[in-house]
Parts: sequence; structure tokens; C-alpha cells
Amino acid sequence: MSTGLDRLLQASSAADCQAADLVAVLTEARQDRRRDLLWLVLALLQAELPLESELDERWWQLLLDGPERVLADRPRTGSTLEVVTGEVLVDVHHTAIHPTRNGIQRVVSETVPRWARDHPLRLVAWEDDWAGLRGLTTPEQSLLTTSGEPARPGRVIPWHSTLLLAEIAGEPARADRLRAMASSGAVTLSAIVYDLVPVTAANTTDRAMPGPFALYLGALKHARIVATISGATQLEMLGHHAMLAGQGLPGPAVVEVALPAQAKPATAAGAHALAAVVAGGDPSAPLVLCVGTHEPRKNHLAVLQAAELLWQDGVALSLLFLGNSGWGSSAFLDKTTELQRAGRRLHLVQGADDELLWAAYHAARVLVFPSLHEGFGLPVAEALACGTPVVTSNIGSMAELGQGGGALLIDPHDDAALASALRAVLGDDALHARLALAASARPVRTWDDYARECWAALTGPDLR
Amino acid sequence: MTSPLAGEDALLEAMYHRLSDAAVALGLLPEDLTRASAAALDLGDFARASSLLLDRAAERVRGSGDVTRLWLLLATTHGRLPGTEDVLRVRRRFALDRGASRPGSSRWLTDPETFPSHGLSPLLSRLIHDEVLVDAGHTAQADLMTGIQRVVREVLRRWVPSHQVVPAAWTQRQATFRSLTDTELNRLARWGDVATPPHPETKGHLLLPWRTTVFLSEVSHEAEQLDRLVALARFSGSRLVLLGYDTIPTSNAEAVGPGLAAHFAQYLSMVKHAHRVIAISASAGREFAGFSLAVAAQGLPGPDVVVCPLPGQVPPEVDAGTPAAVPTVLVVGTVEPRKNHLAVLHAAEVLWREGLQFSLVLIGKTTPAGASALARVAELQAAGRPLEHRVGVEDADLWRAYRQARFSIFVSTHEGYGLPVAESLASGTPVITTGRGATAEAAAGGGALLVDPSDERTVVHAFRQLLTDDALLADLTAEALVRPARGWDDYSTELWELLGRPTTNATEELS
Repeated sequence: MSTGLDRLLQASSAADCQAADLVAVLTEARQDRRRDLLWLVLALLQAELPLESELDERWWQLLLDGPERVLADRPRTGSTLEVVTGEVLVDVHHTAIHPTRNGIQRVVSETVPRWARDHPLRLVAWEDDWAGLRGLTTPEQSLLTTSGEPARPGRVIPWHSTLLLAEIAGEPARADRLRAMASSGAVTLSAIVYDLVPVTAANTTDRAMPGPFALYLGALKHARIVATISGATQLEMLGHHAMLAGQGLPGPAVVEVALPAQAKPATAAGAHALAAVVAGGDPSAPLVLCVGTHEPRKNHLAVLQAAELLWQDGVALSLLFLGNSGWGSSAFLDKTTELQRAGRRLHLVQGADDELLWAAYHAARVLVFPSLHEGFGLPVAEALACGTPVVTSNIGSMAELGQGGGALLIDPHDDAALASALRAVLGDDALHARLALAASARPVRTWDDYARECWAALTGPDLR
Repeated sequence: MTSPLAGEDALLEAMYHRLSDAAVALGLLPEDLTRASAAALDLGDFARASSLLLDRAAERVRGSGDVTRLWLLLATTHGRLPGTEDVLRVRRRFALDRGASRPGSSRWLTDPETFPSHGLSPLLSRLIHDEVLVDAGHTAQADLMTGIQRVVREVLRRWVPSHQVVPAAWTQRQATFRSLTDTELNRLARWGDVATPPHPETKGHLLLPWRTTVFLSEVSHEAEQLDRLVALARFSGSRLVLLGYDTIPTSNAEAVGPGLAAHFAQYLSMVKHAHRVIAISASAGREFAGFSLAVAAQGLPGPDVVVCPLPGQVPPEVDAGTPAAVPTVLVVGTVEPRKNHLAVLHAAEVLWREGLQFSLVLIGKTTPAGASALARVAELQAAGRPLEHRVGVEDADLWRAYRQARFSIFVSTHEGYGLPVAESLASGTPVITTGRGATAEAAAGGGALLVDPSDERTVVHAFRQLLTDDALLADLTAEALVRPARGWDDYSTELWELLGRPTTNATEELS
């Protein structure tokens, strides 16, 4: 026998919902204190995902005065919708909509197509006003899967489904609706977590970041499982959970699934581009490579200081920065100009393409990456995957990566230590060879490995 | 030798005096001072005197390899606390001045490119070395009486007469600590009958805490202050200790909104470099300890966290006034979602519908986020329910309200401390409160019924019990009255002990 709930789950618009079924479901919500059922009714009637404040206001009305009060002044929208029950949905909003590829979008665009290849799932993005979820359009879907499944771009309401959040939900309305669906029990939320930099090191981010990011963490505290991209991020997340004790929330299970790093070969075009960049001066000067956005967290001023200490001592080296100017980069750029005017072999390339990047990884004598804080440290992993030795920080995720071999670890606050590590790896051929060998001997971790482990972690049992 | 500094004589004279006052700490030798003081005293040539002195100080500091001295050199030269980038920049310049052929390193302190927009301070300074500097600027400058300002006043009026304490505020530009004016000192001590000793010798001085303890009794979101405090914690050799009220804007950002969450995240960027957090409850302590754990991913130890619970003290004699005709139930707290007024209003309405006789009194300021609770208040009032909302209530009236109430109810979802619980119990009035976190701690000594704020049935049940069960109410009242008294004297004494001893260890070397 079909129940009222069953019939509501088949509705394709608010108009399809029979009043008697709505009353029956709300009556059950009231009797059994099931906020998820109230969430479903509100979502159906508005064809939107409820905000936490809406859910709360209606909850008190329901408890005190019953279903009729909740239904009395509900405007119903005519939008068509589909209730998606018991499936896995993946929120890939930014990656599907924007063609640019930052670090997070790179992870999504490597991982999600593999998930789509191996598992039944539905890719979703948000409506322009962040009021609800929709399926991807055909062009969006073609960016992320090759499965050839027809696009279903209509509005969806997930119900007792799992929503995998593969990105940062850094928009307040998006975070609020995710929180309401997860905290009410309507949807199980699981997520990839990259880092907690905006709340653990707010001084190193754009001022606009920490507020919305904190709201995103507010949604994640109702998640079931999060997969962190490093042990360092896992530690940040566990620390954040310890901060939730006063709210009576356990927080999600936190599993580390480390990102992979697969080397790409250097191309002839990349090698030409590199030669053009570092042309002039002493061609035998070894190349020291630094990859990353110019922002204070990356500690590029320490790289300049260490290089200048070596240049003062007559050590030959050519220093190449690949990375765009980010937040708070003016001190770095000023210093760069000063050193270039003094005749130092120092090169800056903004907007480098992949070919130049991989050519540089292969050609460099050493990658230097003394960042103060990373969720992962992709350049470290990529350089090591190319067999190129690395000088990096002895903290957090960089220490984790470095312990696998091929790296010298230094205190990123100690310029002199950075300079001596660079001096050693430039001047000591035996040391350089040992590091290069250790880097080449590292086990290869592929995107297939990552996608498989991450899916298993996010959809598997909560092992706590 | 560098050429004399350019600048207004008065500014250079102030710089000269700041450097000479800190001469010993900077490692200056008598012969360094001799020529400079001759220029200053005999010729009145402060441009020459200050450049001579600065040049010698820079060389001494560079030679010492001591970053705490570099921090002090920057602070005395410019008359403001240096930011982290200021210290790192000059430290790097000094490190590159390795060769003997280099000109004086002092140029890196006065280089217009390095310090472009801020002029020198015209003020004299006082080195704070043996005393504890307490930042109490907001409280000293404002007539407001928030929870934080109450703590600051109660503590300082006890510390200032009996301990080596220097209360301080930030200068207008948020660039350094300054001594307080008499008005400000009086404002800090107003609650007491302890006469504040005047500090004429510090009037209008910059206060430069060096290798001592700096205690932040307030919460500041001023970006200019925060980075200078980070530099102080990392480079000055001082211990930075702060009072930890809660981490709600980060751990429960949805309760405060993105604006405050963003400011608080900046505050936490400073907290992660502090040496110690003294939390106002064990629950708040666990939150700060969690944050300390999280910053280990940055290779930082994070502050160590200790707990010193706030007292719940009310004056012994409060006139309870005329007993009300029907029992009163009191709700104290700002009207915002976190305080869960909607649950209380729900329970009250359920019980009014059952025919129970009581009036509900809400005391607490309103916020935009509390709009739905305020709308509900208006609805219930329009329906004729005996419900009153009072805003801007004086302390004496608040305490009278506690005494008059049959019981109070405070079912907040998240607190750093839970002052209304402590105050109700200290008044001998039973309280219904949230059975976890800081409110459970505040209720632990007896006199309270604990409920689960996420299950309104527990709230309704407890509410009904305390309205109808006189024996239970009497038991809880008796429990509340025999709770061990913890007052501001106890708190201030413990807090002083927990500040810990100043350390003379530099946190980083100047190499």
C-alpha cells in the first residue's frame, strides 16, 4: 500500500502534492520529532532547499499548532522538480560552471570523472540564487564525465540520499542550505576537506574569506564523514571538532585520503619556453625552482633572502618563480625588483602553462618550497614525482610528503637553515644524487588510487 | 657614520630619550652614550644625538644576535610596537649586512622605503620589564558594562593596589600601548571603594613591555593591534597571556554570522601565537585547546590552556521588592538564536494553554538575528499572555528580578560561561538550563534542572515541574543557597597565579 510519503516522493511539482499526504507526513514529523520530514515538505512546496531559519520557524509552528498551521500560509511554486531518493549526488558546482582550474578544481576534475566511471551517481550544481540543486546541463556534464549518460538538468530534491561535497561551499546561502539538510537528517553529507587555512591562519588569507568559510565549516559539523587531503588537514579538522564539544556535536568521522601526484613528461615546447625564460647569464648556473602563488603564507621572502645569502657568497644559481601574484604580494614584488636591479639571476613567470611547469620540474636542480602552512603542498609532491629533490618545511603536510624521501626539511622561519640546505643541495653532488634517487624510488600514487580510496571513505561505514 | 637624521626636532628628541631610557636593555655601553649625550646636552642637537645613538644601538643589537633586542630597538626608534613584517624585514637586512664594509645597519630602521607612511612618535616611553602589562583599553575608555568589561573591572580593581600591574590602552592609531589617564583609571576602579593610586610618572607615556608578561583581558578585533601582538609574542621575549571567553564565532559561526566570524578568525590568528589562554570555563578551555591542536598543522605549539572559572557573585543584600501576584519565570540573555528563546516561548505557551498561571519576564538586548523570537514575543503579547520583555536593565534591577522569580530558565545551545545560570543560583533562585557545556558546569553545584535544548519536551517537562512541584522547587532553592560561594576575590587571586612567570627566553634567534 502506498503511503502519503511515497506519493510525495513521486511528485514532480508542488502542485502534485495532495493536502492529505502533506498533513499525514507532517503529523508523523510532529509525533516522532522528525525534522527531516518537515524539511522534505518545505522543500517540495517551495521547490527550494530550506534555510535553517525557515526550518526552525516552521518547526515551532508544527510542534505547537500542528500541520495545518505549517501549510496555511505556504505559497506553492509551480517549478518542476524531482525527488532523488537513496542515491549518491556529487556537488561539483564551481568545477562544472567555471572553466578555470585552481587546485581544488583540479582535484575535482581528476576525481569525479573516475567516480562517474565506476559508480552510479548524479552530478549536481546550484541554481544561480543558491536556492536549490539542479542536475548538470549537457556541456557541464561533458566536462566531468565521458559516461555518455543524458543530462538531467532539472531541479532536484535529495531525500535520504548521500551528497558528496567535492568543493568548498564558500557561499553563505549554500552553506546554510547544506547545513539544514544535513542537520535535519534529510540528507547524509560527506565531503573532501582541503585545509582550514581561513580559520586557522586568517591573517594569511584575503579578508573576505574567513567569514563564509566558517559558515561552510558550520555545515560540515553535521556531515557524516570527511576525507582530508593530508594528515595535517586531518589534524586541523580534529582540532576543530574538539572546539564543538560545547555544542553537544560529535562532528563527522575524519579520514585521511592523501592526494596523489603523477608526474608528466617534459615536452619540447615546454623546454623551449623554459630556455627562453632563463636565457642570459651563466648557463651553467643550476636552476632553483619555486612554484606557488605569491602570498605571505608561501614565505617567498625567505626564498629571496636565502638566495641572496648564497649570491653574496658567490654561489651560482638561477632562481625561477612560477606563480601568480596573490593577496599581499607587494613586498615580494618590491624585493624581486631590487634583486633584479642588482643583477641577480632571478626570473618571475606569471600564468605559466602546464608545459612550462613540467619542463621546469624536470630541469630544476631543486624545488624550494618553505611554505608556512599548506593543506597538501602539491608542488612538493609533483617535483618529487619527477625525481627532483626538494627543500621544504619541516611542518604539517610538507613534512609528511618529505618523509617519503627526496627532500631536505627545514624550519621555514629560519632563513639561515634554508640557505644552508640550498647550498648543500646545489654544491654537494653526492647529496643531490642521493635525494634524486630517493625521490625516484617513491611509490607512485595515481589519481585512480585516490579516487578509489576517497569514494570508499566517503560512502563507506563510519568506523568510529 | 651616518648623517644626522632628518625630521622635526621634537620627534627626534623623543626618539633620543626613548633610546637612552632603554639603553641597558638594548645593550648600549657607556661609551656609546657619551658622545650622543654630549650632543644632546651641550648642543641641543637632537638630530645628531639620536642618529649617533641609533647607529650604536643598531650595531650592538645586530652584534648581539638577540631578536628581543631587535624588537625593542624597533619599538623605541619608532615609538610603536613593530609588526611581524617590520621585524622580519630588518632582521633580514641585518643578516645581509655581514661584511665589514657595510655602512651602519641603523639605516634599515629609518629607510623611508621601509617605513614610509607612519611618522615617529612624539611620546616618551617607559620600558615595562618587571611588571605585568594588562591591556584593558576598551573597558577604560567606555562606559558600557558588558560581561567582559565587568570581568576586567572586578579583576583590575583588585590587582592594581596589590600587584605589580600596569593597566594599558592602545594609542589612537592602534600602534602601541599607552598609560591610562586618571579618568580612565577611575573608570576601571569605579566599582570599588579602593582608591586607585595615581600614576603621574606614566602619564602620556608609551608602554613598551619587554621580556615580561602581557595580559589581554579583553577581545580585540583591531587588525593593527593583532599583528603587533603576534610580533610581541614571537619576538619581544614577553609572555602573551589572554583571557579566553569562548570561540563561538568560529566553532558556531552560523550563530553570529559571517561578519563577526571573519573578525574573530583574525583574533584567533593572534591567539595561536600566545603562550597561554586562561579560559573562563572548562568548556571554553576545551574549545581553545581544540584550536591549539589545529594549529599544530602549522608547526606551532599553540597556547597552553588552563581554566579559571568565572565567579557568579551577586550582592548579598538585594531588596526582593513586593512578591508578584502570580509566579514569575525569568529569562536573562541577549535575544539571538543561540539563546534559544523560541524553545522557552514554546514551552511557556504549551503551559499557558494547559491553564498554568505564571508570568514570563525576558531581560536582554535585542539583535537583528533575534527577529523571529521578537516576533513571537509580540504575537504572544497580542494574544494576552503575561509576557514582558525588558531591555537596558540596570544591575540592581537584574538582581532584584532574580530574587523575585520563582525560577529562571536559560536553555542556550552554546555558551562560553553561562552567566545567567551562575547569577540565578547565586541569588538562591533555581534554574532550568542546558545539560552540557559551560551551562552544565555552572549548574554543577546544585539548584538546577538540566534539559536537552534540542528536545523541547524536556524543556516543557522541567518548566511544568518547577511551576507545579513546590517540594522540588524548595529542594532546589535549598541547594542553590548552600552552594559554595565563589567571588571576585577568589577569581582575581587564582587568575594572578595562573598568569605564570615571565620568561627571559627569546622565542627566536636573530641570526
